[in-house]
Amino acid sequence: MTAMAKYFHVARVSMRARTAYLADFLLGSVFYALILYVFVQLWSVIGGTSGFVVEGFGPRELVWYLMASEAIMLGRARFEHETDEEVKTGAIAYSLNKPYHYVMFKLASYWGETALKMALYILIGSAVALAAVGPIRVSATHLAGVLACTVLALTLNFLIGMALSLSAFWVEDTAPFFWIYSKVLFVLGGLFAPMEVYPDALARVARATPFNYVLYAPARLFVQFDADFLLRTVAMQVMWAAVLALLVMALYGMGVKRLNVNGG
Amino acid sequence: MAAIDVCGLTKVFEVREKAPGLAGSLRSVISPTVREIEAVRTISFSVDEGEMLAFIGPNGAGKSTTIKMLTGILHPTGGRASVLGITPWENRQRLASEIGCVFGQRSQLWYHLPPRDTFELLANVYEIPKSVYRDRLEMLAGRFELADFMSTPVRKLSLGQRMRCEIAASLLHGPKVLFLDEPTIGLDVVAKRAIRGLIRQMNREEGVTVFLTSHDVGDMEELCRRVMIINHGELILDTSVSALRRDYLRFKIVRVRLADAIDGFEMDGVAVIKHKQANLKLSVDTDLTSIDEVLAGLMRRARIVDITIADPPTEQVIADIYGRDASEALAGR
Repeated sequence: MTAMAKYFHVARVSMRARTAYLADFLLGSVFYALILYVFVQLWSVIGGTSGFVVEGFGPRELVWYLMASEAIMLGRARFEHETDEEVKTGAIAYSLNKPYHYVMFKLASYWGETALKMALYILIGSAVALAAVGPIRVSATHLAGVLACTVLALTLNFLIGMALSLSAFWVEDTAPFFWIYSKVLFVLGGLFAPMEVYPDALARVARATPFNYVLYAPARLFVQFDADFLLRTVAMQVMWAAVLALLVMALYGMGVKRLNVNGG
Repeated sequence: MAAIDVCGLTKVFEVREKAPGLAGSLRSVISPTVREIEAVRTISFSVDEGEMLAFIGPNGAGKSTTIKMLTGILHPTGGRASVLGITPWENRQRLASEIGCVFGQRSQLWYHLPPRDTFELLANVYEIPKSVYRDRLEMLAGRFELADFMSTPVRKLSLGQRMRCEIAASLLHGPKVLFLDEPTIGLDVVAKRAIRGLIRQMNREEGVTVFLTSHDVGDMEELCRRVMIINHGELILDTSVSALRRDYLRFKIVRVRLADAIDGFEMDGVAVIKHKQANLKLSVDTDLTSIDEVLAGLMRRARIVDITIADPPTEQVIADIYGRDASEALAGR
């Protein structure tokens, strides 16, 4: 049995735990479908009255873009509150003497839940978008690229969330950080619209941050596939993931050291 | 051979203190005041392989801190310790597959899933081969009588059932040493008895060394031959359970409700702690008078409606130990 097999199993169990309350799980997707419906109406009105098209993004592309970005935004597992509690209450200490790495355990658990939610949201989102604005052109090769980019995007989201959660070792309340992060994702992440429709200055700022690689990059690739953009994006995602992974490990190391000094 | 060897183990926690008010908050940021708390003070002991040792003490005595150091969760401030020849805080992961831990107030079971899922996960985490896991689970499920609720979500289990699952989970990978931190906390009498029976059985049949912390004197009396008592971080007693029983636990607290009110109750070795009409709380020195005799004496006066017999609380035992030390010291002067 390889060392990675245990983390794969953690993901499976996390997936199972997520479906324990099937009704709640399915109900969450209603909210997602509702957001999509509202934006379908909005873009249809804008597109219908002014023939809105910016750099290839018309109402149809914008609806599909939103389908993809919202699927990531709402489909990502919300592990932050639990991690924050584990740090604050000292429960994290009890994972130290288990034969796994805490951060890897959390990542595996995150992926188990995220994969399931994402699959459901993409299914629902595609059905809504298809019914509202019709299909867009995608190929299997493109989808493989989008999938790779989405996996990296969600990993980036995990690393940012984990870094913020681990700050609970030093600050009393991390909730404001998560509130700010979600709002930053709205704007700099490009949740509702791609960078192409942003004012230049804002788009430049957004592109310099890792947040646009969480939502904008995979959603944009899904709607407008471009091999060059894919390569550039993946390279930047890997770079940001490496930087954030180092930060998370440093915070974790310092936090555990602090735990050793101050107790659980 | 010693399974656990501890020498001069010390743990000092640093606690930041803050003066009240906004000014105090600002001061604590600029020049924080740090207070040191000595949770464990240079304790030394060893536990033989296959031994069941009770580590008793009131809340905040240092029991959990000690167990956390021995399981590698905390680094000590001083001293050394070895568990199965491994220094816990230096080789946490290596030690993890050799020991099992149950923390009575922390669950390792997945709350929304049946215990079977957690067992399966732990088998993967501890890298137990599939065939070994199947046999082991079958054996533990049989012994701990888990079959009836193996597929019931943990959230629907009683506390006693959950604790049986917790202990079974900690034994899944066949640990040589089992650390139990308050395993019977919050359980009723029947569940406590069941848990104690299972721990005893695993020790007898698999030779598992058991290091048990509790503030329930009953855990110690029913499970262990040796007991260590810790208070304010110091080891104040390391003796056999029979010696402790003889010296400090000979007093029992008897609460009784009679059918009719009585005027008073007198008997050798019996002190009336509280008396209100038909309700009595007695302290019985079992060296002078047996519980049987006390009950017989009470029944001669009135019919017994309800009765409970309890050990004195740990705090009382510790107070007695200190009292005895003080009087012995005075006598030695």
